[in-house]
Amino acid sequence: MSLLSPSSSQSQTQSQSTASVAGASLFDGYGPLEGRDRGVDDALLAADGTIRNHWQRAVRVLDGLGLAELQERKRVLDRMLDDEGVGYRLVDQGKSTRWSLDPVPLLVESAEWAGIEAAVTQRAELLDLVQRDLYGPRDLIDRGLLPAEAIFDHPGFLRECDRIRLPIDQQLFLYAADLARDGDGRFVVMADKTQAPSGAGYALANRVMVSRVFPNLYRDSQVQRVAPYFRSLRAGLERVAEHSHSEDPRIVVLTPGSGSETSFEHAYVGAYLGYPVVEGSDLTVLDGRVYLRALGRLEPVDVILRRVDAEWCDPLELRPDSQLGLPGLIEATRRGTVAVVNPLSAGVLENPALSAFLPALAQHFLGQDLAMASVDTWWCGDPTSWSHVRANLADLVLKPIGRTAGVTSIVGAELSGAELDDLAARIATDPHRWVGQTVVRSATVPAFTGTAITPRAAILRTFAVARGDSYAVMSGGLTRVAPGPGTIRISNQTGASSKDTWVLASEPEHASEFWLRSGPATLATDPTSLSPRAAENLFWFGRYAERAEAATRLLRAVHDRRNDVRDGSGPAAEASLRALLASLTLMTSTGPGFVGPGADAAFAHPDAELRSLACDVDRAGTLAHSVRRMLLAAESVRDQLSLDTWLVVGSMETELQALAAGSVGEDVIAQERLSRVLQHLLAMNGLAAESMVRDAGWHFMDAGRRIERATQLAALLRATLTFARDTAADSLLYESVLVAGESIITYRRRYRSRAQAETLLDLLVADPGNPRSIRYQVDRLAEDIAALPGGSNGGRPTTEKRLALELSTRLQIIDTAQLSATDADGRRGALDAVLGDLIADLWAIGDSVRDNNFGAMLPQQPLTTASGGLS
Amino acid sequence: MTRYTVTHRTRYTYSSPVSGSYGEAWLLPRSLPNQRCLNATVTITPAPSDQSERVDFFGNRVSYFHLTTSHTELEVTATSTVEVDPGRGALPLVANQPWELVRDPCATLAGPLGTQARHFLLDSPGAPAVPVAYDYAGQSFTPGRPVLDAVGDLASRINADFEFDADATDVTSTIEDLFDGRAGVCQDFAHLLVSCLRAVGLPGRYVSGYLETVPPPGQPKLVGVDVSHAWASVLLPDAGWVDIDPTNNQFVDDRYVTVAWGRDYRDVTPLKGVVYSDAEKTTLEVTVDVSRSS
Repeated sequence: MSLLSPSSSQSQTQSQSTASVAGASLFDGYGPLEGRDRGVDDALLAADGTIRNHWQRAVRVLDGLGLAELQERKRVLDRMLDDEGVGYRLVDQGKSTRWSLDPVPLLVESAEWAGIEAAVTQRAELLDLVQRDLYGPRDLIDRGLLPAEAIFDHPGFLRECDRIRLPIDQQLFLYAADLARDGDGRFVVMADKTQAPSGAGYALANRVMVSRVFPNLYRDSQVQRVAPYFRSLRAGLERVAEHSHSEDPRIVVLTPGSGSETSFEHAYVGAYLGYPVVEGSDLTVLDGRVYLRALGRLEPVDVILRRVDAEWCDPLELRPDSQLGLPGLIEATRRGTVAVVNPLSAGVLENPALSAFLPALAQHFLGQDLAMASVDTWWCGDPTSWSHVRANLADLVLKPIGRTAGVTSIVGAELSGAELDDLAARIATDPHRWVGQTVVRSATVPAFTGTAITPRAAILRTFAVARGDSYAVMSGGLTRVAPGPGTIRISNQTGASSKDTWVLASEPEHASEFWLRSGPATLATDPTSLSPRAAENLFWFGRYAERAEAATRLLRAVHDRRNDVRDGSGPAAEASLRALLASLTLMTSTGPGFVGPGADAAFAHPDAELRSLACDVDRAGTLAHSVRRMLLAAESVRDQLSLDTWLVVGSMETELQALAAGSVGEDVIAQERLSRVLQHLLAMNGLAAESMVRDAGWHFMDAGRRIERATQLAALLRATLTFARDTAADSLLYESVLVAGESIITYRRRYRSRAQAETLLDLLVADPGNPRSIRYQVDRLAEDIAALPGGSNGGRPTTEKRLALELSTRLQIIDTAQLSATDADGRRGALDAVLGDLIADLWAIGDSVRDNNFGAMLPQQPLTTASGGLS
Repeated sequence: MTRYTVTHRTRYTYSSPVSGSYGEAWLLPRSLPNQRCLNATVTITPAPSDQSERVDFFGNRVSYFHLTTSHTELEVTATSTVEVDPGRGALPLVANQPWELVRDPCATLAGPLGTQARHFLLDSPGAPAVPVAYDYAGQSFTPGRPVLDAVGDLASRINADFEFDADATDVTSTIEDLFDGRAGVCQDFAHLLVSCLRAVGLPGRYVSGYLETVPPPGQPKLVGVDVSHAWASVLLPDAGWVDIDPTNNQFVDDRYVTVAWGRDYRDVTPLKGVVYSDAEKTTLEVTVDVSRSS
C-alpha cells in the first residue's frame, strides 16, 4: 500500500529517483502503531490514513530521494556534526558522544504553531508572576493559592535570594516548556524548565545542519527561522545590561565547564551571540562587584547568562563544596551590581507541583483559562489527591517536586507489586514532596531509523525569552524522539534522538533583521581579555600536542628499526634498537619500561610495553594520554579555536578511540595508525600557524609548543648521544634520532656522510635555521614570551623572559665539537650536563609562565565552622 | 530590665597564608518586643576591603565581609549592648491548652501566621522530623497534655537522657548521630527538640544567642568563660513563639539574649566563609563574655 495521497505527483520526482519509480516508497509500511500506542494521533497521517497537507511536499521530496540517498544524507549529516564538534556528554559514561540528529524534520503548520506560541507565552507570563510573588510578598501562599509545603520544601526555593530583583520587570528571563501531543492530537505541557534551560543551542545547530542537508526542501517549505529568537535573547540581555553602571556593559556566559553534559551548547551559544564563555574560577567578586579575570587585570561583568545550576553558583551562601561558582555572587546580585539570568532563584518554578495549581493561578492573575493544559497532575501534599495517586499508582508517573540526586521520574507500570508498595510507603513519609501524573499516550512523528521511516513518540521543547512586557518564543524548538516504540521517558540521557522542528510559514518570510546591526559601532572585545584559565588551557594544548607529536615520531622510528632487526641486519641494528627503546622510555618519562633492571626482559618482549606507550589513555606520558589531554584542553577553550580546528579535533577523537581500543596490533597497522595520528597533529600545527590570530592566546599556545619540542628533543638526545657505542650501532641510532627529529633529509643533503655526533648536534641543537632544532625553539619561545601580557614585575623582566634570553644566548655560543668529545669510557659528560641544564631551564620557564600568568589561585576551601554553642 | 554587654570573639589561625576570604556572620542581635539591641558592631582584623550588613529571610541581621590582604590569622569580634525586659520569661495563658488543640490549626491556618507555621513545620536539613524523633517525642506528648507541659517535659528528658560532651558531635552531626552517642552540645539538643516538635506537628525553630552564666556563690565571675548558646522555640498560633532551653532544662527568661533564628543551625551559623589557602590545619578559638552593665 502506498500512503502517498493522489495529490502528490510522482512525475515531479521521477527524474530524481529510481526508488519511487520502482514503487518502493520510503513511507511504505508507515502506519499506525500496534499495542499500547494503537490509534494514537500521528503528525504525518490524518485519522483517515491520508497524508496531512503540510507534509505532502516533504513526503514527495523524501520519497524522491529514496532510501539509499536518505542514508547518504544521514551520513553527511553525521559528518557535519562531527566536524562541528556537536556533542552531548553522557553523564554516566563521562564521555562526549555525537549529537543524535534525525535528518527528517518535524513539520508544524503555522496555524497550529500560533496556538502553541500563545500558550507558551501565557505560561511564561504566569510563571513570571508566580516568581515575583514567591520572592516578594508571598501573597499566593498566605491566600492558599499555592501550598507552603510545595514551595518552602522545594530545593530551588532559595531563601538567600529573597527580594533580589532583576532590573527589568520580568523576573523570569528564560523559559522552556516540554510539550507533548497526546493521543488525541492535543498539545499538553509535560514540564517547565526555568533553572538554566538547555536545548536552544542544539535547536540552532539542528537547523544549521538539516537546512544544509535538505537545502531545496528547506527553501521551498518556507520555514520560519530560529535566528530571531537568538536576537531576542541578545536584545533581552542588552536590555538587562542597560541598567548597569558601565558605559560598555559586559555580558558573559557562565558554564560549569567541559565536563557538563551540554558544554557544546554553552560554547556554541556564547560564540553565536559573541559573549565570552567563562567558568566560575574565571570570575571574582571584589567590592561587591563581579569581575572577569583577564590577564593582568580585572574587567567588570554586568550580566551573567547562567548555565550552572543555582546551588553550585556561590559557595559562600549555597553549597560550600562547589568549585563551579564564585563566592560573593549572591551578595553582588543583592547589591544590583550584576544581573544573573535566569535569576538564581528561578529553579523553584521547575516544580511539577505547580501544574496542579496553575489553572487557579491563571484565573487569579489573568482572569483566563490556561491556553494549554498541563499533563494531569496530582500533588500528593493534598490528602484527596494523594489517595487518588495511591489508588492508581500503577497507572501513573511519580515525580519528586524538586530534582534531588538520582530520582527523576518513576513509571508505576514498570514496577512490581512489592516495588509499588515500597514506593507508596516512601511517598507517604513526605507526600508533599511528590506528584503523580498521568502517562500521556504520546502522538507519533515520522522518525528515520536508518533503514525506514516509522512512527515514534516525541516531545518538543519550546523556548521563550523576556521581550518588552511579554515573551518572545522561538519559532521551532528541539524535538526529541523516543529510541523505540512504547518508550515513556524521552531524554538525551536515555538515548533519544533529536529533530529539527520546522514551523511552516503561511506566507514567505522576509528576513527583516540582520546580523550586522545599524547604529554606532560597538567596541570590539579587547583581544587581551583572555582569562587565565583559557591561557593555561591554550598553553597546555600546545604542550600536549607537541608531546604527542614527539611520541608519535619516536614510536615510528622504533617500528622502522624493529623491521630492520627482524630482517636480520645484525648486532649493530639490535644495539641501536635497544638504545632507541630506552630513549623512548626516557623521553616519555614512563620508566622503568626499557630502562633499569627489568630492561632485558622488556627488550626481549617489547610488544606489550610498546602497545601501552601508544594506547594506554590512563598512563601519563603515552601517546594516547597526551592526545586525550590535548583534546580536553581544546574542549575547555572551544571559543578560542577556529572552526576548522574542530574538523581535526573530531578525527583526532576517532583516532584516539581506535588507539584506546587497543586495535594497534601488527606493526604495519601500527605504522599506518601512527602516520594518521601524525597527519592530524600536523594539520593542527598548520591551523595554528595559518588560522589563528597572533594574540596573547596564540603566543601561550606557541610557547607551550616550543618548550615541549625543545624538551622532548633534548631528552631524546640525552638518552641517545651521551654515551658512544660502536660506530655501526651509533650510525643506525643517529639515523633514527634524525628521523624522529624530522631532520634526516636535511642532514643527508648537508653532510652527505654517515651520521656523526658533532654534525648531528650542529643540526639538531645549534642550527638557528632548522625549525626542528632546539635553538630555533628557544628563539621562538623568547619571542612568544616577549609578546605575552605578562605579570607585573615592577618593571624588571619576568623570570621566564630572563631565562629564555639566557638560554638563547647560551645556545648561540654552544661548542658542538667540545660537546661531542668522549672520555675514556665513551661518555659525553659535558653534553649530558648541558642537556640536563637545558631541560631544567625549560621546565623553569614553563613554571614561571604559569606562576606569572595563570593566576595560580590557592585552593578554595570552606572556613572551619565553630559549633553553635558549647554550653 | 537588664542590660548586657556581649563580646564574642572568634580567632582563626591558619597553618599557611590565606590569600583571600569571604565570610558571613550571624552575630548581631535582633531587636524584639522584649529585647532591644542598643548597639552592635562586628570588627574584623585584618581589615576587610568590603563589609556590609543586611537582613535575611528570617529578619536576622547578617554581616558580609571580604578580605583581600594575605593573612594567617583572622579575628572577628562582635560587641553588642542589649536590653532585655523582665517579663520575658512569663508563659502565655494558652500554655494550658491540650497540645492537640494547638497542633491541629497549624497545618491549615491561612494568612501570614499560617505561612509561618507551615514553614517551620517542614523538615530542614539539620532538624528533620525523623522517625527516631517522633518515637522519642511520643512519651512527652501524651493525649490531652497541656502543650507547654509537654514541651517542658521533652526538654527535661533531653536534659536527662543526653550527656553534655563537646567532643561527641560536630556541626555535621545528625539527629541519628545524637541518639547513637547519647551526647552532644546545646546545638544538638536544640535540633533534637525542634525535630521532635515538627514530628508531632508543632512548628519549631532554632534560636542562637547567649546565656549569662552565674559564678558559684562566693566566686568572682571570670571574663571570657561564657559561650554562645542555642535553644529551641515552639509556635503557639494564639500566643506566639515560646522559647525553651533543653540544655539547661528551663524556659527562656531575661538571662538570655537572642541573636538570630532559623529552621536550624545552618540558617544562622555564627560565622561561615570561604577561604583561598593551602592551609591544611586551621585552629579556631572562641571566647564569649556576657556581662551586666548599668
